[in-house]
Amino acid sequence: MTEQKYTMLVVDDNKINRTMLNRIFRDKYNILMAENGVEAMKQLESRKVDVMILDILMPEMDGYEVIKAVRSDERLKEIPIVITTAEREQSERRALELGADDFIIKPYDSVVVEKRVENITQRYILEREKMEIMVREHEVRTRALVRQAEEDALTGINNRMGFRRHVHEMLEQKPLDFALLLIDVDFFKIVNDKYGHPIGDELLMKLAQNLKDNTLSGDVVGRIGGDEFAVYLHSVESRENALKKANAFVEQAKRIRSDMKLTENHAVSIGVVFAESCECGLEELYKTADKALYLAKENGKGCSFIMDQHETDESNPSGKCPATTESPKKPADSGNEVDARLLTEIASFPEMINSLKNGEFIPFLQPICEMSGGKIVGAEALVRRVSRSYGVILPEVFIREFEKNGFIGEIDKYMLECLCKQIKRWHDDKLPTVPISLNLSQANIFSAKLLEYIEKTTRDFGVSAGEIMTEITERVFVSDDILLSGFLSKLRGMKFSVAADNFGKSYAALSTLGEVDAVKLAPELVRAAVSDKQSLETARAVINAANALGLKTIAVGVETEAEVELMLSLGASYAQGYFYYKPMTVADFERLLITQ
Amino acid sequence: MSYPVIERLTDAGADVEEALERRFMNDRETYIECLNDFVEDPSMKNLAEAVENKNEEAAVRAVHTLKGLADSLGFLDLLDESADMLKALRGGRVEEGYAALPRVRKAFNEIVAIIRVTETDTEKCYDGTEIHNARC
Repeated sequence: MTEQKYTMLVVDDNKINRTMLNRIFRDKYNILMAENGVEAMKQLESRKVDVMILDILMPEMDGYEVIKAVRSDERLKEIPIVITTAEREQSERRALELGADDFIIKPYDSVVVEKRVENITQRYILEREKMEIMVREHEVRTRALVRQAEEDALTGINNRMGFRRHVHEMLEQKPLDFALLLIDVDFFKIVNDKYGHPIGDELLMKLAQNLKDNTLSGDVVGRIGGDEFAVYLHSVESRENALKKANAFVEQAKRIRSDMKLTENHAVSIGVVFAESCECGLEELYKTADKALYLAKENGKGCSFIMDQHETDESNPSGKCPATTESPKKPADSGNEVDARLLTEIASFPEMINSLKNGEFIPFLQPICEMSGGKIVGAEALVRRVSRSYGVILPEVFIREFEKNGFIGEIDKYMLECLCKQIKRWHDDKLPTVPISLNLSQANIFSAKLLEYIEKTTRDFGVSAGEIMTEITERVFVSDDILLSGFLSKLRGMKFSVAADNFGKSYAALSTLGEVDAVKLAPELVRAAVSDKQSLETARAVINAANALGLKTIAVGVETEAEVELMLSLGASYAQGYFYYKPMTVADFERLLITQ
Repeated sequence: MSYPVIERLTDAGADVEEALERRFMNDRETYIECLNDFVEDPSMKNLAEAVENKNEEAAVRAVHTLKGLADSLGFLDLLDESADMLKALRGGRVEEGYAALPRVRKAFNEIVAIIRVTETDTEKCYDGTEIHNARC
């Protein structure tokens, strides 16, 4: 026996027998007594019993019935039973057949009884303990594996898988109000490059610890990507609280970076989705939070941006242009690729119709500036798609497909309507305006209905032709289609100006410039002209020709001071590019214009 | 510590030493506790009622218990008498078994008398007859 005292249940209707057994076993067991089978079953219900000594002949419920009841009960069936009998030949066989483990003969020989019961108990307890150890070890191993699979090795918090599982569990509780925060570490690559990976890792660990320290029980924290964290706030009570929490994380991150003497003046960008009484899944939350994160980054990083879960569902039920001026833009990583199957799916007509209805296509504006002085004189409207199903999708991905399947025409019209609506609002609010450029796709310009649509839409919104500039890519001019001249002539006849876009890339004849009002130099040409003589001369020729014809010359894709200086020296008047401004939300553009 | 009751039982032919050694781990206090329980045990009364009512099954059960107790406590006379009665009843010799009741009762009462003699001079025997001077 081990030092631990096990519990024995003695069942006998005769007190003397119970007393005798008690005397034999009391030093080694905690003894429970029962006078009959009914009492025995009650004891078994309420106490953990390690071994039972059971008389056969008893009133009310005899020993046979007790054996049957115990052996058919999942919780009790492993308890060893030793029967006592004075009539070995009669009762022993039946009891053993029913599942008794051994028997002892009355009157008791204390040594024999003790040894027999001890043997049985030892065997049973050893087996049970062995089984328990195995189960425990299995549980420990399973827990370790789960932890390993769900834990981020660097920070010790959940990885993506762990985060998802825990959030799913919390969402199953159907919380009334909750929030999901996607947290992106600003300029993390620069931290790694400049200070080394150990410092980068230290930053991640400190940020993770900070999130853990500042969340409550029920909240879930995870590192879901290299430099991306997520926090699920289980009971956040209000939208304001969610945003407040996110802003606190931003400030804490700033302090952490400052304490680590990282000189970059940035912290983290946080996209927040707040959901109230929403039975939404994690995927939906992710997508909305991702959009919000994108906006936070576009707003200059080191800040939070919040959206409601229903915003994306209901913001634009009519399928009209979204009235909101806050909208996501293309992701920083423009090198994303979409596989062919997904592309086919996202570019399919039904999908497009739905996405138009859902307001997933959103105009962004990139300012066009005077090169000398930087004054904003216009902007190009650029389409972005933020899909509820697929996240942010870059125009580079879908435009080519849309040109193939013809849906591009719908996008052109949609963008025109959005711009006209926006310009009308500027009129109504007495805000300053500048001409906005709108791309017209090659497939669309041969449609006679397009001119009618442009005329009608601008008229409906009270937008003058001078406020819209159309852009047609150089590739169209190269095709030298006879219909093109007719289209351009009519368009200009309606007083809409036309720009030859992306010029200098496909080598259209310079004579083309006679049919347009402005020329936009291709970014590739602007970039190459700095170092490549042939490109330099091409750019010079185009600009000279354009200036000679009295056209506006706009250098597109200007990103460096060298490019600015070169384009100025070549005689370009206007520029568009990251050196001046990146594409921005209509709201940001509006603020910029007002400031100017 | 001396236990007069053990001595008296031994003197009366009970094999107390054997019982103590084999059944009670030489624990005299527990043995005496069981003697008191023996006095209170209803088996003798049940047996008398069963015989009176000609309830063979109840008689078998009662004498079986009595035999077991006698064996455990070393009461050799009672063991022999109850074993004979049980054997007769189980062997289908019911009347012979019933007829053994007085002998069983006598052996039982002698034991009870010895156990109780130190407590009182006059008591009722367990089966209802008078005990006087420790003899029924």
